Amino acid sequence: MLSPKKALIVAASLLLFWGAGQAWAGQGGPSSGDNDFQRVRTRVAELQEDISTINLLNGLNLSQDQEKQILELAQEARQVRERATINSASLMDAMRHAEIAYATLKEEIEKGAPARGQIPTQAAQINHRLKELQDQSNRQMSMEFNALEGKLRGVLSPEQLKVVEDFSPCLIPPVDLRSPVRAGQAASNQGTVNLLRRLRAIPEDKWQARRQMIAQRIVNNINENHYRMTEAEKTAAEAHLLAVLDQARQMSDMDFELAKEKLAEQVAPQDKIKNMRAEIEARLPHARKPQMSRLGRSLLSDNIIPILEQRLANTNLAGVR
Amino acid sequence: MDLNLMEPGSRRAFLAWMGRLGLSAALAPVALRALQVLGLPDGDQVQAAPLPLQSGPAPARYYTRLEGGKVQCQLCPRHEVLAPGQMGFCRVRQNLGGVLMTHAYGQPCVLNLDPIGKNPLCHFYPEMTVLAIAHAGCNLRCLYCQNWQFSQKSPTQTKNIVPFDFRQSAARMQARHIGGVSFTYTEADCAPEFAGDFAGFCGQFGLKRTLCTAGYLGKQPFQDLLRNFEAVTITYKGATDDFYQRVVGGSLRPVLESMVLAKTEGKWLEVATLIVPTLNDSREGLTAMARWLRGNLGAETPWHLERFEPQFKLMNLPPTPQQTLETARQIGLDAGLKFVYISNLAPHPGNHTYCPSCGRVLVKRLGFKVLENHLVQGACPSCRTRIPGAWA
Repeated sequence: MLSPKKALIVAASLLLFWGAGQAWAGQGGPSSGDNDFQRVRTRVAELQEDISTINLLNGLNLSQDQEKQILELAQEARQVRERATINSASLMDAMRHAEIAYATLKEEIEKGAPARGQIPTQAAQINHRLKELQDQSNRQMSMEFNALEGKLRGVLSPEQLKVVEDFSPCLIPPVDLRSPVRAGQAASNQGTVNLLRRLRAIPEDKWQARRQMIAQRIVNNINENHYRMTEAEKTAAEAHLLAVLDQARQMSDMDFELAKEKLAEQVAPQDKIKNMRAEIEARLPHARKPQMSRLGRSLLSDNIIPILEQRLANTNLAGVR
Repeated sequence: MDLNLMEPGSRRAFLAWMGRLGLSAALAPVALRALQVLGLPDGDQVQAAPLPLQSGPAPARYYTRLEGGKVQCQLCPRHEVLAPGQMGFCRVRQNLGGVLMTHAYGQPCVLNLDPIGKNPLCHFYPEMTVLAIAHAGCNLRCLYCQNWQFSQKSPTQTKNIVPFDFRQSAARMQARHIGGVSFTYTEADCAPEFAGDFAGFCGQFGLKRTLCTAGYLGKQPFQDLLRNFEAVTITYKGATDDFYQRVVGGSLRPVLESMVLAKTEGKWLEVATLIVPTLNDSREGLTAMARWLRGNLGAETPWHLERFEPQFKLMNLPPTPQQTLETARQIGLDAGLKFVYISNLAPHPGNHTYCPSCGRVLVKRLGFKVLENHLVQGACPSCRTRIPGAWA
């Protein structure tokens, strides 16, 4: 029998050697490290998507009945996606033809001159056929998605639809006690109001020395993080901003408190990109991809299914004591 | 201003701090004597004299003088006896040389433009925007206070919006088409001198005047205060005196009396209850509250069930579950109350006003925002049932 001390030394040595062996084995397999990175990256993305979906669901205050109906629609949407994959045999066939034709065309034009004759003609024909098949498949999917979205609109109240429309995904929705509508990023201008308060507190001489620099910094921030501007747009934005900031500073405390929200609206960066995206979405009914609207993307995705199942299972846990 | 007076960091700082303290102590009696010489009247004799540009403490009402320079505050049920220099529990009223003074007169620390629904008031000009006004201080210590950043401070500790000019404020409100003024967020009850005077002043300009209060006030002061207001929201925080003592730091009876008083004085009254998980969310307690409201204030009194968000000293509790609020709403309706709202949780069908006769949605809301108002001269357009409140 080993004494306890020796047994401890043996056990520690075994652990040490085992650990070293693990490390060595790890070095020998760079591909397993890569796989691990990919796996973690995918998982992180999935978790982000799940958190965003849960935030939205929390903000919608759905009834149990609504949750059940949305779950059914999301399951139907999943079936539509699966059917599209299964039924795409002809599309796959066309893609295989395209693979060969495009590779031949690539080889031909790599010689340095435009392709002539049979090769480009065949590539063009296959390209046309491929697009046709894709359009056909997408039209079918879009039609089915549209029908599901229509049903989804019937499930939600107009107020809930508005919340989905305004939803900006985020990890931690800030608690804004000024508004009980809480889903996604805050729409409040509280941060900008606080900025204005700080600017009002700067002594006049320091303000005069720094106002241009402060305005430039705000405009640069908008330019870098929200909306890329031309030089002319930047100059105009700076002038506008300076006028608003000067006005905010000149106001009495009372006037400022009454006008702070309106002033903040003029200083805060407008989400012009969001508006542009919405316009593009509205003007692209013939998009090649079977696009769902924001509503469908938010509530008919595959990841919502286990989340809703879990919520429905937990529903009976709350209530009055 | 450095408010961290109690924690001098180094020996040098400590000595400097002691020096300042000594100097203040030496000058205080001189200052107080000067105030007395200037002829500040006894609390009982003080009349409504607007001091719109008041920048320091103003004479308070509702107190009696006692021997030895002490005063007894008669404003709230605490009836505190304050020695010279002593600050009241509310952190608003202070005995300065045998005279009770208020630090809140003309010292608001919050001014916001709010929808009236935030008060919460759902049956009083529901689309109106009001100037929400609050000063620091409160005579309660709710563990879940949602405005503790200024309710649990003295007006001497907050950055106040001064000078606060009554006339200028009322004129600005008119110019901006603001429908009225609402004393909310903190306890305007602690400074009835300011709340009453300013509300009364606004009334001369045709502005509506509303008050949100815990109703923890003496009968006479509350009756006087109510004269200057048209609508009141009283927070009925819990069913039992034990809850009031443990969680709120007050007692239940004066609150019940205030609600009855507001009703008998003919003010438009709505009642709000913040439902805190594990503290006041029992079926028994909610049923008792609903029955009391039905029996003492009438079935037509709106009851707002508000969602709790972890705040102040109850950060360990979760937000009120949606289902708890829905069950509580059903308890209210089952008790016979006709208008039971879910607040601070939106969107939700419990945010809307329904006709109690035909069930039609009359006022549709998203949070505090009114989306649709179908009322016709205060009545349901379908069945003509009159809906209590002030609508247009």
